[in-house]
Amino acid sequence: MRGTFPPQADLFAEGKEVVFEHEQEHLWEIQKGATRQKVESEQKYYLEIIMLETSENILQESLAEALETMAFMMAMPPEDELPVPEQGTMVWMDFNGRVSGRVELLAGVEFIEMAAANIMGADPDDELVQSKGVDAFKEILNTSCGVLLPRLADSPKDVFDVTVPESEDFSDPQQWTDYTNQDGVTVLDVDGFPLALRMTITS
Amino acid sequence: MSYNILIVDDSCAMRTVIKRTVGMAELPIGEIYEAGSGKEGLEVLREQWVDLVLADINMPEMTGIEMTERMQADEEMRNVPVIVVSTEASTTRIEQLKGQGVRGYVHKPFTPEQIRDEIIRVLAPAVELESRE
Repeated sequence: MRGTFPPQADLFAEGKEVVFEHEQEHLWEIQKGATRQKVESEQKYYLEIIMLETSENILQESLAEALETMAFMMAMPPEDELPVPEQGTMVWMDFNGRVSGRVELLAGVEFIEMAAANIMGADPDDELVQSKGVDAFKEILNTSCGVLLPRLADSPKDVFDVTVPESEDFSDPQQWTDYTNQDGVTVLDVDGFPLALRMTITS
Repeated sequence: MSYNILIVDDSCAMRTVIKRTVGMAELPIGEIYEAGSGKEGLEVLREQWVDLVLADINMPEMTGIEMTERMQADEEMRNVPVIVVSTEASTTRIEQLKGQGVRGYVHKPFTPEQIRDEIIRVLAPAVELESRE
C-alpha cells in the first residue's frame, strides 16, 4: 500500500504493512509495533518510526547483558506460558539527551529475590536479600540503561541525564496482566521467571 | 601496608558486589567503609583514613561528581584517589571527571577482573613508592 505524507490514522494498525515515505520516493511505511503519533514533518515521522522499531530490540539486548553479567541469569523470549506473579514490583527511570524517554521493568517477587541473591552472592532466604531485593532490581534497571543509552546515542560523546530509579509494588496479579497487555510491553523468560519491560520514547 | 577503601553508591546491592569483588582482588585491603551518597562519603572521609574511593555518579542527596568537587577543594581529601564505578558511558562526561581529578573509571556492568585491574592501576604509584621505602 502506498500513500503520501501524512499517513492516514487508520493505517497505524499493528502489523499492517505500508510503504515507507522519504524525500526521494514519496513512499511511507509503518514498522510493526509502531504506535500512533502526531507528526509534524516527514523527517520526524521517519525518525520516530525507525526509533520505535530498533529501540525495543536494543532494550532487550541491554537487559540481557546486564542480567547475565550481574545476576548470571539468561533472558530469552518465552517459549512456554509463564506463571503470572501474584505480587512484585515495577521499577522505572527516565533519561534525557539526544533521545528522551523512560524505561520500565516489572517482575514478581520470586524473580526479584533470586536475582538479588545472585547479585549479592547470598541465599534467596538471606535477610539481606529479603530487605534489599528491590534495591537490586533497581540496580538491574540502572545497569541496563547504562548499556542501552550508548546504543541510542549518535556518538560516544553524547550526554544523557538520568533519574534515580523509582519503584512501586503491586500485590494483585491483575495488575501484572493489565500492564503486560499494554502496547509496547514485552515479556521475557528469565530462568523461568517472567520479566516485563518497556521503553517509551518521548522526544 | 593495607589499604582502606570507601565505597560510595546509593545501591546497597551494588556496594555488596563491589565489596565482594574488592575482597577477591588479592590486594592488601584493610577497612572497607560504605556510604549511600556523596554527602555520607564526605562524612566518612572526614572521620576515617581512606586510601581509595570507589564512587558512583548518579546518587540522591549529593552526586559522585559533587562529592569529587568537594574532595578537590579540601587540602587533605584531594590526595585521595577516586575511581568512578558507574553506568555513565559518555566520553564527554568521563573526560570531565578526569579533569576534576578522578583517577580511574569502571563501567557497569563490570567483571571482578575489571575492577581489580583498575584498582591496581590507580594504586600502583603508591605501592611502588612504598616498596622503594
